Amino acid sequence: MSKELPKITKVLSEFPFRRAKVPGTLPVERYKDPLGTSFDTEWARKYPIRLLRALLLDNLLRPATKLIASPEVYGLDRVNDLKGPLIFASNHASHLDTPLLLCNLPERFRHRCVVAAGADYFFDRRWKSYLWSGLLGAIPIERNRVNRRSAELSTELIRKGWSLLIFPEGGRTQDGLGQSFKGGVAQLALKSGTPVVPIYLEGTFEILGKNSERIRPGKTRIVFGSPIDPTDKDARNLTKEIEAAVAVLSREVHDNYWDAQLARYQDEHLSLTPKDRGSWIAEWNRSAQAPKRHTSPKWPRYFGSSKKT
Amino acid sequence: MTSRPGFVLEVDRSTPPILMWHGNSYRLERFPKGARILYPPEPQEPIKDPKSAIAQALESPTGDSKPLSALLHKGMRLVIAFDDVSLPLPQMQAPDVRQMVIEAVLEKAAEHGVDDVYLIAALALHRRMTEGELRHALGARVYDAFHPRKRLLQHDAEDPSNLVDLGTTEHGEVVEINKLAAEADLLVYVNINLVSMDGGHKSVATGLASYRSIRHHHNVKTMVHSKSFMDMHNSELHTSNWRMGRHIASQGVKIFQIETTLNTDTFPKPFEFLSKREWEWNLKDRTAFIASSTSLQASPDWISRDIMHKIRSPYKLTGINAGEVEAVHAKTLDKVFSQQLVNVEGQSDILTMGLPFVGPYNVNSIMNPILVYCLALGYFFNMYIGKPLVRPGGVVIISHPNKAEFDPAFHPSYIDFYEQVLTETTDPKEIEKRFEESFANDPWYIHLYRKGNAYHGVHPFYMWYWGAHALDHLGGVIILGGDPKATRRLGFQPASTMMDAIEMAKSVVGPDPSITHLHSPPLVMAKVI
Amino acid sequence: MRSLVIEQNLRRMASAKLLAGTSATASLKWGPLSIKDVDPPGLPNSQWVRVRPLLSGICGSDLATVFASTTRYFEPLVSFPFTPGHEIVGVSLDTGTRVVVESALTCKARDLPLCRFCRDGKDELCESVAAGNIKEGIQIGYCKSTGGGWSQELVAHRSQLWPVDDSLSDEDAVLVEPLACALHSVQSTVLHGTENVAVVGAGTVGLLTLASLAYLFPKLSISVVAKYSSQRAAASRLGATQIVAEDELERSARRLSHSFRKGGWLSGGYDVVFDCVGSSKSLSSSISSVRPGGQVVAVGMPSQVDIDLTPLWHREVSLKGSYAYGVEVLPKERFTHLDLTECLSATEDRDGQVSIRTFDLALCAMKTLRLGWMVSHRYPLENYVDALEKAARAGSHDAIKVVFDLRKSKSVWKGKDDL
Repeated sequence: MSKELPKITKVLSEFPFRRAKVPGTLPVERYKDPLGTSFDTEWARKYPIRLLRALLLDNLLRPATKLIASPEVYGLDRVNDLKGPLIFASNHASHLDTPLLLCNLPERFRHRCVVAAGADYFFDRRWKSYLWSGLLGAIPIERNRVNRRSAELSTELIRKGWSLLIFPEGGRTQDGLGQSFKGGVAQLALKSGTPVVPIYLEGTFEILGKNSERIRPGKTRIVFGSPIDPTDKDARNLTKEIEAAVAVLSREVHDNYWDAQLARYQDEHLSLTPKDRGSWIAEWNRSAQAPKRHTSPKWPRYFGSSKKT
Repeated sequence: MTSRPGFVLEVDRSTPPILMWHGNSYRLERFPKGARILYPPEPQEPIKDPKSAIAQALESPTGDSKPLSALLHKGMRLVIAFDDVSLPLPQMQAPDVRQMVIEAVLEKAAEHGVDDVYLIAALALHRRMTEGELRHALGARVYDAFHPRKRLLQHDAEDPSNLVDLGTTEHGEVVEINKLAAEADLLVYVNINLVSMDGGHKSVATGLASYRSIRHHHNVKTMVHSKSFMDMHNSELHTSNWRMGRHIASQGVKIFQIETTLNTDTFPKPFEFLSKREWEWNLKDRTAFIASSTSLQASPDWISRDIMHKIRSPYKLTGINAGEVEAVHAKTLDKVFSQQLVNVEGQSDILTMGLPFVGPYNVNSIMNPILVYCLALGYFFNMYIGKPLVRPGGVVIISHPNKAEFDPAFHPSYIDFYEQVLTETTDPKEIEKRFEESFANDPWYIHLYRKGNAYHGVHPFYMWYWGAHALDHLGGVIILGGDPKATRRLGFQPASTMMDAIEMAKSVVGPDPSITHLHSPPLVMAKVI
Repeated sequence: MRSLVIEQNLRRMASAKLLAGTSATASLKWGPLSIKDVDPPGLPNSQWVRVRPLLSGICGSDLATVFASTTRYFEPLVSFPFTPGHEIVGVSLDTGTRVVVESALTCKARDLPLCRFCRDGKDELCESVAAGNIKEGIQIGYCKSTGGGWSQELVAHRSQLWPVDDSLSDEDAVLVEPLACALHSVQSTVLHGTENVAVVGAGTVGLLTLASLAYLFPKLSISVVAKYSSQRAAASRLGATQIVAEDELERSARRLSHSFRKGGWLSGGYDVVFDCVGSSKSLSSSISSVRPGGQVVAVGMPSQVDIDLTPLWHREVSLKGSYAYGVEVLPKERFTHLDLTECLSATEDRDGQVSIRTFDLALCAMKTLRLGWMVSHRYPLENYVDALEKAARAGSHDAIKVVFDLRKSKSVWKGKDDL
């Protein structure tokens, strides 16, 4: 028996029990797994999977994000009455952003929403592709160049009534400061004629920034802006407008509504991206505005630590 | 998605074992390092709207021919002949191309008030089609409209009252074809060109001919000089058929030829992996392979045969041409070659092939040893242009169980051929000389051919002649996994494993042989440079 | 002297029959046959001579007796205890010449006036199987008074002895008796010489029938049903036109006669089928593959069979037996290819009919045919178990004729009459 065993394991470790290796001698284009933008996420939008996802979102992710990020949501009244598919465009600082935003979208959009996710990062492995498309309803989007397939997929989904959550910065910020928006979202909006809802999200960088090694629970703010109608606009201006709208929203929570509105019309280059990026001052300013952290975790307690301070 | 072309894979250490057909089942077979595997091209994109493509082909014919509607007029007799059950293989998913084309032709005829229409299955010496097969090929509408009126006929090569002698060609070949077809005002032939052997003048000159006529090209001499019969320019078989075809045309028979080509999308959903490359098999494919191959091997022959013969291929139309025979056929051939042709460099010492469950002559039936011989040495061996895949004096290794099982209803003469001819000799020339006459004229076979569903008495001989060129060319044939008794009866050697077979072949071709494996089906044709 | 003896012992016969199916060895051990030291048989009168066997064949009917697989039909026609063996080539102790024994015990041997059959030369039908001064027994080898071939000595009537030409080997000679049976079966059937005939079975009887057919009628088309490869080889050596497997007979019959077939019914078929097996299966297939009105000849000894005679009735097939030998009548003009000049008993009548004793014809034929090669295995008497087992499975064990070789047994025998 002991002699047989390795034989069986050997058999099981070979073709056809395992995938066969691609012959290196092939004179033709080598075969690629349908990953990246060619990964088919259709299955994740089938009804049973949607139901499962909705259950997970409402019963697991929502309490979990609440615990970790304690979000304060502003401006829901601006979107609550809207109908039909929308494009939600938000700044991006953390992996937490997607679940957090999904959980806090108005009910109407929450369960019929796909998330644009970087094809190179979220769809580079089979298991990742299945995980993200299944769990969050992610669809693969090419970040840096125009990919017809991914653009077609998103417009088609919007046409079918799906809302889209997208991070126009094209990636998480390195330093917590904003980055300039890419043109993809504007093109999508123009192509599908869908209004874009700007969202300002704050505080997730502190909880799980790009270079953080662990989660530090904290407070976050989510601000929904008024939808921007893309009709009769050109892509470049629309991008700017969305970027500005997000910046206005940030002003709105830090200063007040009126100052923000004023800035909107006075400041030509209203943007989250600071002009003086790289200098310590920008980061100093930002951290001052950030929502306050919990001073110390509730558990585990550092017994006796209060004595020393 | 465009279809990827076929290619030749050279086996190295990391090459996975390769799918090999074995009758009603299949298995994975590891090939020695350096062997070449010939992979077929992927199925071509089908025509998106076959209906309008058919309509267009009928109205804008190829070559020197008027459009179909100009050929139809009230009061004429229209005969539509169509290819029989031997095409395509396996039978295609409904609707069959023949149904689509014939319906289009019939609608045109109805539009022009053509009343007198006959449909004839161009059987040649094949068995009569069963009702189920006719319904499948023509569709229920056509069948129900024509069969009750006795206007859906099957060609009878032994019915002297319905054959007409059109004289002889300049080579003295008797041209005798179906009277109804020959005397019609217009003969429309609806063909399926699955391989490059089909079609052209062969459609009418063979499909609708009598034994007296067919014997002029279906004989050992012609077949030995058809190198290969898949390449009409080097095929004596076709040269003779072309002479006959031209003679038929010169006798005033008006033929409107419709030729169709299909892609090679051979296997339906659960069996998809059979036409995929092994390293592209996903979890589903691999699971399907393991489950299906083990259960097929474990189940009794009749069950596995039944399962496999239930396969209906998702073939799709890739081309249709209509009009004058030769012009149409030239276009058809281009299309067939563009789907099936793969360039191969040089011949090899050994050619291996796994035979599937069906050949042209055992649709819904048993593949008997003679059909195994014919499929391997007749069809697969001849899938080349230029030179055979195997060098002169080389060895062919066939994988098939090759059991001595026969279908007494379809192949009665095969049983006697196997028992009474092959026990005496396997030399095609001697077989032809000593036995053909008595089988061809046996009244019982003729009776069963005409009234039952049997192949003509002479048909097993043609099977044997089909392999004559290969027998002439080869140094030996080994049947891997073949029943020893039946294999020896064919004059071949049985082997139990691939390694054994290769070792046996070495005694013929010498040490360190080069090996080529024909990874087919789907169909692939080699252009050997 | 050493002799194999069969006794009438119902218990032993029953156990032999019971065990025959499972183990031939056990069947022989518990069966009616045993090796014994017995006194040589006495000479009934001065017409009898003592014969010392050289080779003695094992025949199918012997096996049936040994394994008790026959019906009890023969029991009253033999006299127990007897020594089997009726295919004998031996030395006449009277003249010292080599002889073959025509072993049938007919009127002549029994010193009776000839019965009506013997007068007609149909010795095989002789009425006197149980009369005269010797005991019951259809042949030497079934009779208590004469002894038999499977021993070191027997007695035979002078009329039963045929001298053997020196050109024939012992092996050739031992096959003369079975060849005579085969010649008789062929000659007793009406043949014109150009028919399709079939020989079912390619054991000794089948092969000898084939040889006789080919010898007497060279233009016949002869199909032979052979089961084993050695039998196929032997059949083709003996001139079979076609060799078919067991279940192929009906199909070959259909094709050769270009006839129609519907289920088991055949519109044509072989003109004559010689059944040399005698089983239910062989007889049924013979009956269904012969042409309507044709003839099936049972050459091998059949036993109790279970066959459907409907085709026999419907197609008016005649089923005919063929036993032993007598006198053959050959129309001379049809047998010009035969050289019968050396035959001792050949007489020609006015109509050009040559009458010749079958045994004589067999001896002549053997000079042409030389069938000695068919003796494939020889055993001493002591190894009778091996010999009989081999003979019982001859086909599958690549044997044709198995014989007892008594030529070297002199030194073993310590009897008072030692020569």
